[in-house]
Amino acid sequence: MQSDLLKRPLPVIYRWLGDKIFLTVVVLLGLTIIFLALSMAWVLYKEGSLAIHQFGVIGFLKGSVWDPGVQYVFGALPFIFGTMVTSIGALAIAFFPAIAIAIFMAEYAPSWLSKIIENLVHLIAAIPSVVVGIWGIFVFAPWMRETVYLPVVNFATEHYPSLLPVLGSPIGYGMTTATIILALMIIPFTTALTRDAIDKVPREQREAAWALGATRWEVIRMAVIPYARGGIMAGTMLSFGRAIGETMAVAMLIGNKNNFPFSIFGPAATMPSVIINEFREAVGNMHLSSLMAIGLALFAISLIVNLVAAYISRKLSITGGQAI
Amino acid sequence: MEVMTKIQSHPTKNNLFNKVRKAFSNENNPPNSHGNNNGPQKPMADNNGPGRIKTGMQSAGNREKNMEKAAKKEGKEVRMETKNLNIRYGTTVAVDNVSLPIYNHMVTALIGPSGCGKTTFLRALNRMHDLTRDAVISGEVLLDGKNIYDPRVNPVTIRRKIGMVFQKPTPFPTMSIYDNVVAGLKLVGIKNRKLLDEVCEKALKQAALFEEVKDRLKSPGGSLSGGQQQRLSIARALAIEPEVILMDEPTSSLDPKSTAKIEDLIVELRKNYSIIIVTHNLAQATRVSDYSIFMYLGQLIEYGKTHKLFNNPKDTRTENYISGKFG
Ligand SMILES: Nc1ncnc2c1ncn2[C@@H]1O[C@H](COP(=O)(O)OP(=O)(O)OP(=O)(O)O)[C@@H](O)[C@H]1O
Ligand SMILES: [Mg+2]
Repeated sequence: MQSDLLKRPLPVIYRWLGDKIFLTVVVLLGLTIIFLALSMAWVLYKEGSLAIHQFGVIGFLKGSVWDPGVQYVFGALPFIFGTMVTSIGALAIAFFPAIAIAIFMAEYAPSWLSKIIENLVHLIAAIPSVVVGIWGIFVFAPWMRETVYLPVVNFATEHYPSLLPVLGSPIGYGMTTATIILALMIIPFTTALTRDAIDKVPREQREAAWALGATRWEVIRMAVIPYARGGIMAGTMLSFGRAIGETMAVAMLIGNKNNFPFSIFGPAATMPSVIINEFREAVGNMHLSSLMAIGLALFAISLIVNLVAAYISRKLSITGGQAI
Repeated sequence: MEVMTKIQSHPTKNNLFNKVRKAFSNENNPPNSHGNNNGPQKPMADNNGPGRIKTGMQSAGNREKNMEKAAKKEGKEVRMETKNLNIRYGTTVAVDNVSLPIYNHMVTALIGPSGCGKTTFLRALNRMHDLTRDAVISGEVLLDGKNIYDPRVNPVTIRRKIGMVFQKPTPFPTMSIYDNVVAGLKLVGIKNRKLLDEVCEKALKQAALFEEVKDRLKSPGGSLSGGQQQRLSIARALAIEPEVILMDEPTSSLDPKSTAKIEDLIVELRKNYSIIIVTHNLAQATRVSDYSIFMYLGQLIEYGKTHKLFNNPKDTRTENYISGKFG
């Protein structure tokens, strides 16, 4: 009975239709996403075109003066610089701890401990950015000021006064504070992505290393990390993208100073932070348009970072024992 | 039972071998040197002591004893030995009370139907089960008379002495061919470039791979064909100069030509190593092995000279298996 049913082929028209409907839906969904992204970029460009035409693309990106008050000149360089320094700094701080946590979870911890850490990591990742910012304002920044910035600046005042302009004012809200907070925020992300990459390493690879008489750490160094490196690098790039776009906590902690010179402890600004801080107050067309143009630049940078991540992951990923 | 703990003096191979071995020999060998011959048999808690075999195992025990006697007469030395080895996964018994000797400079084939516990048995011989922890092991595995499961023994040292080649080729894909071969040597801190070069060339030659790759030692290990990768895996295992080599179906993913090469290699390697090879290919077992072990449902059914076991099996299950009636 049943076998009879199975033997009878479905009418061709149904199968054809099913395939077609599925294909159409998938393609439409994909196109919608691309369309949304493109239209967003287009809106940013349209709104920012005033500034772009006024200063030129290069001129805008290289312009180091942001003065909505008197000169009415807008250049994005301070914010690009602030974004890059805080993001790269955050990545540098976060990278090794994140890798270490991931390796500990994947290779050393018993599974119950690994579960606990994993949940903690997810929990930290889920804390809203603004909450991190508030904690930074009330707890972390004052603490940093008292235990790090002030002692260092006092020491420098006595012994190396020439360093003072580099260090900047130790108010607690500034580039270093923002960078550290940013690092804390991307550690869970980097950890999770690294863990995924490590979990993908086939058991045979580890066993091959074990069979050569490798110790636990040697197995990790010899078999696990090289195999997972593509995933780890791609994950790191994605975390970098996160750091670049991170807005709220940074805007709350970086002190918001729109013009060079920036200093190590002193206030600065990033691309997202200037947008969120000045949007409501921007009255002039050129000011608004310049903020839009910064948005466009941020969009482009994020896109590039993500594309690079995808490229790395493809380039370095290993399929079927073959390093491509 | 106490006949077999004869501690080997290793046959001198050549200078290179000794140089390499020296690098390994200072490794944390536990102070386990019971100078006398009956020393190391420490029965594990839940087992009959060695020699006190249950009645059910009597015949197997006798057979084994006879074999040892015969082997001694021929001047064969016992290299490894299992005593009442039991391995289970949860409640599944995968290896059931297996006691057998493995002879030095012999190729021993391990045959039996799928799921009979060959891989499980083999992995117990160099403590690979330590890594997964799903297998529960009791009994003893002796290497040169010393129990490798003694808590004082460092499993890392054991794995350097007992190398392993897996079913699937497992080159480290990001390393060059050269680095793959010397990976095990670098682990023990050998940095002397000349020595590494020598060992690499020698191991690749032994594995019958040198001619094919000598001009591209720097290209990645993953860029080789499957058969070449498997020979690379073998070269890598040989480079660290193990004393025993375990092979789990090393040719099952290879074409006939590569298979033939690896079979030749095994026969060749027998001069310097003791080899245990798991295979489903009975013709292969007859071609390469001196002794054969037939396992069935986790038990050792028959063990003997390969030509005897294949031409004149004593157990009907062996006979059925080798005549293709099951498995
Ligand atoms: N990790 C594991 N967990 C639970 N059971 C296992 C595990 N590995 C093997 N087994 C079981 O142990 C028994 C022996 O398996 P083993 O892999 O040793 O067989 P085998 O003789 O190597 O088979 P094949 O010829 O197919 O490779 C089988 O019943 C198998 O299902
Ligand atoms: Mg198997």
